[in-house]
Amino acid sequence: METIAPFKDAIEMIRDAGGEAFRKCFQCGLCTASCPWNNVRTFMPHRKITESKFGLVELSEEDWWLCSTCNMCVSRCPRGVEITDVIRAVRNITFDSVPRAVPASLKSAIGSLKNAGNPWGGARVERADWARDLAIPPIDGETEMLYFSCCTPAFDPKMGGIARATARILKETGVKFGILGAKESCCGESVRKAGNYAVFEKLAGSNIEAFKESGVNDIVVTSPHCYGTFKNEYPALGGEFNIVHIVQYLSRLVGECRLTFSKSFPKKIVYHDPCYLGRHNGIYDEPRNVLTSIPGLTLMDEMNSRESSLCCGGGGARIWMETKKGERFSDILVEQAIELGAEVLATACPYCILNFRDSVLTMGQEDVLEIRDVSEIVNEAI
Amino acid sequence: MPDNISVSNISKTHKKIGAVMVVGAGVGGIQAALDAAAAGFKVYLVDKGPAIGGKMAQLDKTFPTNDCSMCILSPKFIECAANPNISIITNTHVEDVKGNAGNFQVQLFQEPSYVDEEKCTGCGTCSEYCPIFVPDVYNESLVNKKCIHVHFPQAVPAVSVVNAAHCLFLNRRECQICVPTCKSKAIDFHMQPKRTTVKVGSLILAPGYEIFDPLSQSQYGYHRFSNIVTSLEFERIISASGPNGGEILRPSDGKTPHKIAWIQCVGSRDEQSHCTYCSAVCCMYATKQVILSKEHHPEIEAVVLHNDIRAYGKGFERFYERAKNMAGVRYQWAKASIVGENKENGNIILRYRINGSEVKDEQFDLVVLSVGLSPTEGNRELAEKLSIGLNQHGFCESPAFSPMETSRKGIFSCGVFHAPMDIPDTVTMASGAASLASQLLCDERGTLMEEKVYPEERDVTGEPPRVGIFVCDWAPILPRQLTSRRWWSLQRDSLAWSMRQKKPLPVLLTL
Repeated sequence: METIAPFKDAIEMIRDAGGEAFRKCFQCGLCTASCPWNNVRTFMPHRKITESKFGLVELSEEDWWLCSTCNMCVSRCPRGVEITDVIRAVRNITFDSVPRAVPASLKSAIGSLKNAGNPWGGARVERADWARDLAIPPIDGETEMLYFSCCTPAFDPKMGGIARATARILKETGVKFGILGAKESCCGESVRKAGNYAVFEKLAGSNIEAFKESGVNDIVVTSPHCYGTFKNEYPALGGEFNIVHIVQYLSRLVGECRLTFSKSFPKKIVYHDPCYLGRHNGIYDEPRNVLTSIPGLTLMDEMNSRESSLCCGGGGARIWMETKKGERFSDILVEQAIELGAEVLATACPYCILNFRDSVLTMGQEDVLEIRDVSEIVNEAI
Repeated sequence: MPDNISVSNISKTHKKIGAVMVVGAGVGGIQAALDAAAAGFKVYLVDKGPAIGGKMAQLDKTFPTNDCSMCILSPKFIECAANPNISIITNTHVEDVKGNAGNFQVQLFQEPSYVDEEKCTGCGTCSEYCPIFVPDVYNESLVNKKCIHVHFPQAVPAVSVVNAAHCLFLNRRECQICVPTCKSKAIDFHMQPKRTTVKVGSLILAPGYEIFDPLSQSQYGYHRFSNIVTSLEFERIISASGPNGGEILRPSDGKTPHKIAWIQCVGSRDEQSHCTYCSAVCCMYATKQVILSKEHHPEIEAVVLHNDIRAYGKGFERFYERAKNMAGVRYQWAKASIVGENKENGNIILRYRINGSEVKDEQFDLVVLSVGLSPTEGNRELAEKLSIGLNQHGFCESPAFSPMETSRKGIFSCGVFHAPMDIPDTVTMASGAASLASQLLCDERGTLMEEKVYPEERDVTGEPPRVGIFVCDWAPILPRQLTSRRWWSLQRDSLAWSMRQKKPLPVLLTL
């Protein structure tokens, strides 16, 4: 047995990068017991915390990039340790100290973010192309709110339907809304979780300026990740706006009887709680309120739901990384939904939708299970 | 202490009242009541429930001796009931306390039980005819009992009470079947709530606790998976007076579990449940439950998933070592996550890490959540009404060197209301609180005591003996004569009273 001395410089670096939470840990291992990775392989967050405590971190280890920041560990930790913050801090140090250890797919997403304000390699000018035929006015002082679609529906042609469905709903319910198009950039949530604070601050700074210039006060979003960062991280950078996720808005409309359905949606639906809507931001009831108000729709008993919801694997910048077959959480969720007898797996996050649709394809279950965003379902029924 | 003496000097002009009110009749309240009465003061023993005994009455055995809980507690019930200077007032809570040390006016609010305590004999006939079932709170709602019922077999007062929320007559003006079945005509649906003011010189607060509700933390899967129970539910399951007569049977299929896991620190030392304190007793009560389970079924495999094991008291370490060294018992240092349920057999799948090297999944037939001790909403309200300070955890605030004092002079506290503690510490503190109350009221000692009046003695010389035989079938072994029919027939002439009762009785045998 060897005696290793703590590496004080490394400890300080982790602390400076935002990882001071490791101090509180008493090594009970509940984080490891709760981490979704242990459904498919072995991953021990509590070990990562000990390594951070003593500065004995191996920066080139692939494991540091596994975390999807789903917060299952943080939400259960008896000491309130922000484990995902520690992981993010170590990732940040890796960018500066051992850049070759950063996953290649992540690097290309970051390159695209720097050049075109989106991670998908799309051209900045095409950001509002999804709205091409919808005649949505650009945001100005007159319009009530900004609709921020998220890069994924904007640039992934198969996902554009979500943004169009949302825009149609907003129009039908008489909301004066506008979009920013090429003036906006990616919200930066995922690149910040990847540890690249510099790119995040650049994106956020540019967005805050664009929002303020256009007199934006209220923003309605499609992605819980955009929701999370606009609400929790932008204020510290000078951007304080009223943020509403589309399901919150729809739930409010249902409550005020301002959302009327002329058609039915006669399918058996199971709803999946996205990590960033549910566990991170406490929004559980609103999507359920909306779904149960749709005629003909059967909302089934849920699988691991609410605070115990299993991550789809898209957060923490993992949406840009490759996940081996047999290790995909979204496969597990699709399987569970099919076992339950659901016809539709509904959720309210573009990353979840991407992952579920991918899983359904690779598992050959396209005829068995449909993947829908809540806004798409509502759009079909109004 | 100098404070108390100075108060007593000042108040020489205002006569103090030689009576003490004990709020809460768990083991702490009972001990405080007995001590205060023995010291020469009139005692009002008040409890919000229908019977005295509190949580200790629900326990099977007590650590570290594994004494039968009811066997040591119920004789104290009788001592309280038989003491002419202790008034037991049940179904009652304290609404307000006005006045000062030595002179308090306590406003009590008594809920109607709809049964006249003076007339009811606790025979249980009304229960047999009642058509409504309600969850049996004493048995942690594991079974149902009749809407009119005696709270538990050894209850003092030994009277029936009506569950007002479920009674057909009280809610829908239907039924009343029970009324004519009562030979003593004790059922009275016209009973009203009663508000009374009682004058006392001092109060001792012993209102106890409630167990942490694991429903508030979805990670425990409580009520989602049937084979997850709380430690108090498990205590009722292993108890001979419990829903299964002492057989350890698991909820999903009534089978005997052969592999049981205890998860420690549920609702204790936990930021997420906002209970960051240690509940002091869970390590030991889990160890007790492990030992008792092995006594019921030696082949049971028991795993205790813990953070630390706190065995700090007298005999505790030895108790822990005893359990740890039993075959099939494993104390595993890890906090476990409840992954799910094996749909085929209802087993619970737990996942935990082994040091820094391995993550293990393990299935258990039954999982016991070692729940912590939490302050109650009722206690918070009581403290607010009485201007009693609570600390940041919701327990009674007290000076460091005088833990039984509260922020209000003349009002003392003991037991878990002060902080989570076990039975020995509770009764120690109860005696201490009674002592402080006695000091405050020392000038009034004996002034409100009732003298025990004995009935006239009658000389029975030459008369045939009138023999009463009371046999409790609770005892596993009866003396040989008592099972002999010839013996019973020989006693027939002098037999004035005989009773063979299937339920456990506090009085075992009287001849």
